[in-house]
Amino acid sequence: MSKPAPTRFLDANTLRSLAGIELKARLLVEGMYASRHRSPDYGYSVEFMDHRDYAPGDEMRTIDWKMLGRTERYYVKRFEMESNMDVVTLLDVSGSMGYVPEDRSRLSKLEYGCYLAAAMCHLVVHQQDSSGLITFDTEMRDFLPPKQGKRHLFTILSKLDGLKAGGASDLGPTLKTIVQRLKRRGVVMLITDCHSGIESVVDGIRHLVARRHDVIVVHLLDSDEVKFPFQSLTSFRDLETGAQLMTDPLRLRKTYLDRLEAFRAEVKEGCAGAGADYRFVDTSEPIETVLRDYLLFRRLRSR
Amino acid sequence: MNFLFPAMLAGLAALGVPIALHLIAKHKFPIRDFPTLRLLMRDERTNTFAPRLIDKWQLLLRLLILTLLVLAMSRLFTSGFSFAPAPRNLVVVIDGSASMAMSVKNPDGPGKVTLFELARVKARDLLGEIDDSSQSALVVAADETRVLSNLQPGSTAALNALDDPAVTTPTNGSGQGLLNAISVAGELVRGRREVKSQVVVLTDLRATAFATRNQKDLERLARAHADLGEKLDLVFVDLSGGATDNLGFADARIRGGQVKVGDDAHVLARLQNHGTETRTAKLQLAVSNQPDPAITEVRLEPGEEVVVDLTTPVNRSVRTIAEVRLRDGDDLPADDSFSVPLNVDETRRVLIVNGASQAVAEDTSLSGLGQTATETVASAEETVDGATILRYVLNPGREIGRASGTGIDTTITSPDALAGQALSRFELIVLYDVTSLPTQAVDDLNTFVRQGRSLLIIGSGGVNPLQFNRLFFSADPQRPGLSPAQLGNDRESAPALGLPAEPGNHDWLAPYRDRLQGDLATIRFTHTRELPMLAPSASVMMAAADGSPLAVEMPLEKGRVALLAFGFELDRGNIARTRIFPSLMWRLVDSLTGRLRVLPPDVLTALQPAVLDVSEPGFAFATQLELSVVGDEDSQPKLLDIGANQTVIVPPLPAGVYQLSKPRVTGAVAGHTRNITIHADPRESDMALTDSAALGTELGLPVKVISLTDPLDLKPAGGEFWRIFVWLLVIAYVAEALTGYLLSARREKQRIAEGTA
Repeated sequence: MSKPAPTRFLDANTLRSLAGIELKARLLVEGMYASRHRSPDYGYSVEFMDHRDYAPGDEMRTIDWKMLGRTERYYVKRFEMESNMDVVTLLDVSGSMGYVPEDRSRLSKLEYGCYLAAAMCHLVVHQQDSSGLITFDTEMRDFLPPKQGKRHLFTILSKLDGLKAGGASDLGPTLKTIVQRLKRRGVVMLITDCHSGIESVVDGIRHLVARRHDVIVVHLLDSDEVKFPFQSLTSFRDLETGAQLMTDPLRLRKTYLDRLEAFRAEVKEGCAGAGADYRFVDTSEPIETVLRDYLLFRRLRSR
Repeated sequence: MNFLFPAMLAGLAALGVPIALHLIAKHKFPIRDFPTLRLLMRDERTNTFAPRLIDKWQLLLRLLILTLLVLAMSRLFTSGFSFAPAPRNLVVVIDGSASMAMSVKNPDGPGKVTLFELARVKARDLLGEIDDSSQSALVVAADETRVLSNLQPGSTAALNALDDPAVTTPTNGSGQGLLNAISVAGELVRGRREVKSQVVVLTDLRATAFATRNQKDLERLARAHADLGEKLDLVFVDLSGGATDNLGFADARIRGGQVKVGDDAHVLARLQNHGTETRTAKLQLAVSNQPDPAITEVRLEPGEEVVVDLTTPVNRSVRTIAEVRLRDGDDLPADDSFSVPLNVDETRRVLIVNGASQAVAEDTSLSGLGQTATETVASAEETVDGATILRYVLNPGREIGRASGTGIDTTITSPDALAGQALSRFELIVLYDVTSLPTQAVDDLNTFVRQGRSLLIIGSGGVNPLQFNRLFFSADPQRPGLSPAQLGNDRESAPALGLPAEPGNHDWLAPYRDRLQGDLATIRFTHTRELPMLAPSASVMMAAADGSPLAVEMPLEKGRVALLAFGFELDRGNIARTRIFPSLMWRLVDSLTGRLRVLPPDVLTALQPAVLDVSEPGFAFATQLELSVVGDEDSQPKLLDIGANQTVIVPPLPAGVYQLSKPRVTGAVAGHTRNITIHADPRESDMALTDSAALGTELGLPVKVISLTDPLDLKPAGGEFWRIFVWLLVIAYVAEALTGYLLSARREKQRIAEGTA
């Protein structure tokens, strides 16, 4: 049996739907190369930012001669420096992400996340930005630092291809650790099911935002988790702790859904409070739709 | 509306079973990995496993099935309407007593028909109304209750039992068993409270049937009544229609018990008029089934009882049956005749062994004495020996040429010729003046006595006591000799020895306590033999005035031996000259041949067991006797074992004339025979009727008495719902099966959908 190609997470339909859409940093990003994203540094570009008084040492070509003519004072024109963007995808690979849905035709959360991450990395690489990948559960498992180029994209895809869910998760401490590894500000896409407790989740996100990262939280849940469709008496086993609970799903459904809704609201509120984008994703939704809608949303918001 | 079997309603408790099963059923819970378990585990109360009802419709269907089942088994009954005939238990009791043989006018046609036949027709009608959901039984009552058909569904078995040849005619028994039969019928239906139970008694309602009541029968009836209450109907159908005219023999017997050849046999018949009108009875006697032409007419008032003496001459020794008959008869034939065994005494054969004269030949007759007596009376008196005197006195009539007489046939022989005699021909052997006998003769005598015959030893003067005692006497109780006493020397009494006023209590001497019957005080003995020692089992029959024993006897197994301490020679006293002497000797022979014992007449009651004494010598050597029906060679004779007391138990038998004999060997009855007559219970002749009030009081429970012509509708009104319940059950079962199939298919589909987690 042939091993599936690493590019299996690159779905043609997804990529086709993303054609013409680019991921733009919402905040300033730091990069090594000139690119289309605004940088906190001033540089040479077509985007005029402001004037400042001339100071000795400034290059003559930066003097705004028109202002000199009008004001008889030397002003130097400052331009925004456009930089390339580091987009790091943080993919939760804890045990809960390995949930196999009742409908086998659907993807597991991990697979769905891999598809999301692959599409994002493909998008980023193709817009000349750097793409990185970090997988984690209770600690960081894999770290592919942001780089440009299709080779790096292939590396990322290969890594995604070999991922297996397992272990517990605790977002707060894990994200604190990960933050230390991100040297430059950039876009951080956190793909997780947030099964760590609301405080831990929000705390981790705050750490990311505090380091001026443009944080996108993709709260990924399986459709079974969202709808809780079970009918018969079932002994549920926790994917991370192994704890079992025999219960009647019908009697618990409403309570469960209420609690899930409350939890989602808390995560969303936490993200908003921290200044991170929050996007809830049900694995039953098509990936291309999710990505496309979100990118369009970001583009519209940036105008 | 009620339940015929309310106890089954307890089955409603079973409704809890499927509910419990539903609630606690061990389902197979799939194990499913789930990521958001923490959201479920936050509420312990909610997560606590709680039973829940699943498949509610199936549960409801199952509950419905159980409910219908319980209702069907509880047999919901309504008197309002009926879907089918209500089941019931019917026990028909037919009175099979002798009175049911009474003929009455046939209600369905010409002529007459017996009450028993009417009962069978009525029983057939009643049983014909029984359907398959009901049960029926048939019981016939007489002295013994016969359950011909036990309680079982339908009426086929009971109707077949009606055709049983054994119940086509009434028995000869009494109606005393009717109450027992009714109680047995009550036991048959006792405990069957689910349906109505009916005991219908087809009887002629004679009061005598209930005159004596067994307490156990009454208790059984009371138990059945207490158990069933109003569900038990006891109905008496009076078949007699009030017929009460009946003349019947209650009893008959031979006057004096015995008849001698040459005498007239007197048959005393007790006749009763049980009717309500004065009747004239014409009586006729038949001996050996040969009717006597003489007709005796007797007029009897209602309720009157007369004893009629019917006589017929008897000229020969015979054992036959004398039957008294009503010439014209009446509607109840069972008591229109009465038979009694007529036994004309046979000759008793006595062998006298005369030891005083060895020259006396076996057939020596008194003619010799006559020749001797022609010389002189005095010399004749001196030459006549005691044995000859004894022979003469035992049957003087025969000795003077008359056929009749005492019925004692004597033969004289000598001790040496004794071995040549066939001893079994004799009932009594007299050893007169015998001192010694051949050993073989002694052994034969021993066997003769031990097998039931008697031996009389006369201790006259010619007996040598030493030789006699050595040969015949033994003081050892383990090996007794033939003599009941040791013989001593001759004792001369002067003055002569007399007998006291009360010489003894022996039956032999019983008549002589009245001196008008014979005065023993006239007897004087000048010479007697001393009896110094008696055998251990010997007893004194007669003692002298001085207390010395003059006659002793001793039982020896089945026979007896008596010893007289005096002879009859004229020189030994005046006993042979006294007028009492012949009767004294005749009575002694009677005593030793068993004729003094008073035995009940061989007249028994039908279907009642009886014990008969068969100790007569004719049956002495038998261990079994055969009882056969006289005149019916085809019937199988019954073998009766002779008990230790020489008695046999006669089983309950129908009326008729029977013969008791030794078991036949060649196919024909041989040897000694004895006739026995068995009659219907004379109480069956009593025509007094009872009524419902008296019956209710006697039986202790409400009864209903109706006549044959009264309508008897025993079918209970209303019906049961069980057929509806059964149909509903079928529908519910089908629905349940369908539901089960659909649910199981749905579960399978769901299981496949949920995967193998």
